[in-house]
Amino acid sequence: MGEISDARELNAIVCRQSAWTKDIAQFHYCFIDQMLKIPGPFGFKGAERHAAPEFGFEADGFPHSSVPYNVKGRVLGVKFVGAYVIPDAYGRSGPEQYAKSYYGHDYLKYQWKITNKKVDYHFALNENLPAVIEVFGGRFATVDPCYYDQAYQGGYHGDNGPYVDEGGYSLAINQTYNRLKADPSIDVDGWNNIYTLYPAQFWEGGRCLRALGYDRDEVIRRLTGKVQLVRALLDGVYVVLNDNPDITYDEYYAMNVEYKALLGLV
Amino acid sequence: VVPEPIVPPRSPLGNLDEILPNPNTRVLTGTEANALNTPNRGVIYVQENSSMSQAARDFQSGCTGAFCDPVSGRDAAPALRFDNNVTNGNNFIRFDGIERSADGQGIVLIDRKLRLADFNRGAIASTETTFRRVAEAVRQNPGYQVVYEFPNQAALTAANNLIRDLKLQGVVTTRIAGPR
Repeated sequence: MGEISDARELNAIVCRQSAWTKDIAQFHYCFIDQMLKIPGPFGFKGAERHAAPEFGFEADGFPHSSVPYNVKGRVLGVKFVGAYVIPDAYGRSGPEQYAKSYYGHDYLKYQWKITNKKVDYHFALNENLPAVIEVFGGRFATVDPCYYDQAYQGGYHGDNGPYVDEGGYSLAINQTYNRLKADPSIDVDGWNNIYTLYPAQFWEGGRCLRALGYDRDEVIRRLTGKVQLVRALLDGVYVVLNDNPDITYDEYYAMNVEYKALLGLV
Repeated sequence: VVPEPIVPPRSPLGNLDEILPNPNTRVLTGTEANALNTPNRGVIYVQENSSMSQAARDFQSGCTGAFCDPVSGRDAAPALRFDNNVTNGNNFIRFDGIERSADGQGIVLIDRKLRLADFNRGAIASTETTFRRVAEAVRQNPGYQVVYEFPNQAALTAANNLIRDLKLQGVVTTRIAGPR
C-alpha cells in the first residue's frame, strides 16, 4: 500500500465535545497545565507554556470556524495542532442534532514519521495516549499508520491501485462500506457505527452501546487476553490491537477481520 | 420514419453555455462584482488578485475553464455569488476553474490546491473558514457544486484525511487533477 501516501507516517487524533460554550481560556490553561506534566509524543512535557489561542477573523471579517493552536518545544519530529471548534459553524446542526453527531469537536492531531527514533511507540500507545485522552476528556481517538484506514474503507488491496476512478475521484470498491455510507441513518465510523478498527482507539461508553449494542464492560470481557491492551478509560474503553509501527497493510487488514469478528462487527 | 432527435433535458440553471466562459464573458473587478444588483446568485467572472508561489500559479492556471482576460491581461476567476452576512465581506467566492457536471445538468466550480495545510494553525483556520464559506455559497445556489483538485494521490489522501477528521465529508468533494 505504498502509493496511497508519499510517506510512512503515523496519524493520531483525539476528539472531545466542543468547549465552545465554556470559558476556553480557563479550560485551555488547566488543560495545558496537565499536558505539561505528560511526556511526549502525545504530552507536552518540556514544551513552552503559551496563552490561550484567540478567536480570529479572515481579512474581510469572516469569522473563523475554529481556534487552532500549535505548541512549541515538544518531541522533535512530532507535528501537532490542537483546535477549539465552533460546533455549528457549518450550519448543519442545531444543539439537538449536534448532540447526536460527532461534528464540530475540539481536537488534538499528531503526526510523525515511523522512523522517528525519539518516539517509543509501545509507550506512546499503551501509556501515553490514554493519559492524554483522560486529561482532554476525549470522546474518541484513533491511531492510524500510513492512511491505511482510507485503503481499508475504499477496499484497496496490494500496491497497484487504482485508488481513483477515471474522473479523478477516490474509488470506493468496498461494497460493505459503500452500503453503510449510502444509508443516511448510519454515521459510518461515527456516532452510531464502528466500521474501521485501528491499531489503537478509544470509544466513549455511549458509542459502545450505539455501535456495538453492548457496554464497555462487555468489550473488555470479549477482548481481554486476546489483544495487546484493553482497559476502561473515562466512561469508555481504550483498546490497543497492534503496537508495531511497521505494521503492513496486510496485517492491518487481518487485524480488522480477526477483531471485528470478536466484537460482532460487519 | 425519421427518428426524433434526442433532446437533452434542460438544466434548471438554464443555458449552461452562457454560464461557462464564452466570447461574450465579461470579467469584472472586485469592486464591480460587489456592486452588482441582488440577488447574489450564480456565476460571474472576476479578476484574480492573489499572490502565490509560481508552482501554485502554474497548477491553478491549468484548470478547466481557466482563462486570461484579454482586456485587463489578468487571470480571470469564475466566482460564485452568495449573500455574505459579513458586513464588508465579498459577496462572491473565487475559484480556479469551471465545467459542466458529469450529468450535464449543473455547474462544477473547481479550486486547485497543491496540498491542504494540516498542521499550521493559521492555514487551518483559513482552510476551515473557506470550506464554511463554500458550503454556505453552495447551499444558496442549487445546481452548483464545488470540487477541490490536487496534483497527486498523496495530496488527495492527506486532504481526504483532513476533511474526514474535520467531519466535512459531504461539504467538500475532492479529486485528482488531470485531463478529462
